[in-house]
Amino acid sequence: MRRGITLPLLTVAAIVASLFVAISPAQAHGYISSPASRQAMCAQGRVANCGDIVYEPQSVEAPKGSMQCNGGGTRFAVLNDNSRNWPTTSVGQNVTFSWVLTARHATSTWEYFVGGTRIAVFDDGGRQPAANVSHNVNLGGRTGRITVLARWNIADTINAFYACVDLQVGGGGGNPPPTTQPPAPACGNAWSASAVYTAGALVSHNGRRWQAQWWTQGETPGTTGEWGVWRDQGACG
Amino acid sequence: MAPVAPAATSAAVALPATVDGARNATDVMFLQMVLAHHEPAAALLELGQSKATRADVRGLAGDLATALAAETRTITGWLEAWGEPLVSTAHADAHAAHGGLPALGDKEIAELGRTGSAEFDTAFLNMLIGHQHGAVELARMEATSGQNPQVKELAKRTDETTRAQIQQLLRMVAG
Repeated sequence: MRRGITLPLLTVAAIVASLFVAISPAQAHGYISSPASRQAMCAQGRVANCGDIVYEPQSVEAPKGSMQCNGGGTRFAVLNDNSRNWPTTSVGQNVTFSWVLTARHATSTWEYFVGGTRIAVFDDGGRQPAANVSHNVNLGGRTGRITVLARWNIADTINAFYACVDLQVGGGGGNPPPTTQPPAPACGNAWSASAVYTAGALVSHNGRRWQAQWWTQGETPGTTGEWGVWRDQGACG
Repeated sequence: MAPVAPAATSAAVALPATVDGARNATDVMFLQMVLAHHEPAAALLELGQSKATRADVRGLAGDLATALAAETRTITGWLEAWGEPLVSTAHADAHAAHGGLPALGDKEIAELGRTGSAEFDTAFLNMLIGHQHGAVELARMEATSGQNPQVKELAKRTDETTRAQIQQLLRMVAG
């Protein structure tokens, strides 16, 4: 009888199979965190109602060659929506773009575009990138509000990763204009010591809005610390 | 099957010390992978605490290291209670087949250790964010395919708290 052997083997096979089913589709990847790309704006909660991108800002992957912020196709189309009033980051003529990488795929090139013109390219020659990737890019005298499209071209697949970064470019010296700030939101419901709140719930307390990060009851907003249950969402009016 | 107590102040605090026996392969693999995922994170956070220039970055590295150590102890207890190994051979093979996951290994941490102080904070935050995205992926796998209620609750809270951490980390790196 081989049954004693067969079962464990099946178990291992099941584990491996479930791993690939569950993990492989993401496999995951990278995006620009600084200055914040559109997917980073969504993932950090500065732009609301972005859809699934908040779970995986690193996964804006599509065939090479697109000039769209989502790389073309239907997924993450919110990233192409210029009516979203994407917040800008104030910068000078030289900008350091830094990436979050969750898998370090062999890389052909990193490209940066403004308005259809390629303004910088970095050739990795098919090597695996370093643990930290950042590129210094000169904006070539452009000023005002611009959107930079970055493409990370993978060497051994047909795909690239896409990220759009909205910038407010100053003249070079002096103080850059302030980053766009949305008006203070309405305060909404006041926090109650007896109520139960679950992740995502919004309350007001002492003129500020607070968002619950998980289930809570009887914990006062403002007393739970930076990593506690109540996350400060700023002033409200 | 007693219900799991909700988290009081952090994902690490309110995890029950005991765990139901009923489980499937995903539950076991999830816990093993979280342990494997926490190991390089502990080294990364130690480096962040000693080398970061910004006080807020050092502070959060310390907070996360504490939470992670507590969670590691609990998960180790659960796997031991089940009589399951802490390390799965299946998952090491799977990592190799991924062509590079995890992104955070000894070599990458050593490389970060050699980063100059001007670039260190950004580099550290980006590596930590990338690593935390992996935790979200693991948690969502367990939420979809797991069985054990305590483990699924851990996964739910890992997903929520880790995404909240990523929010905060992205704000720090962008600001």
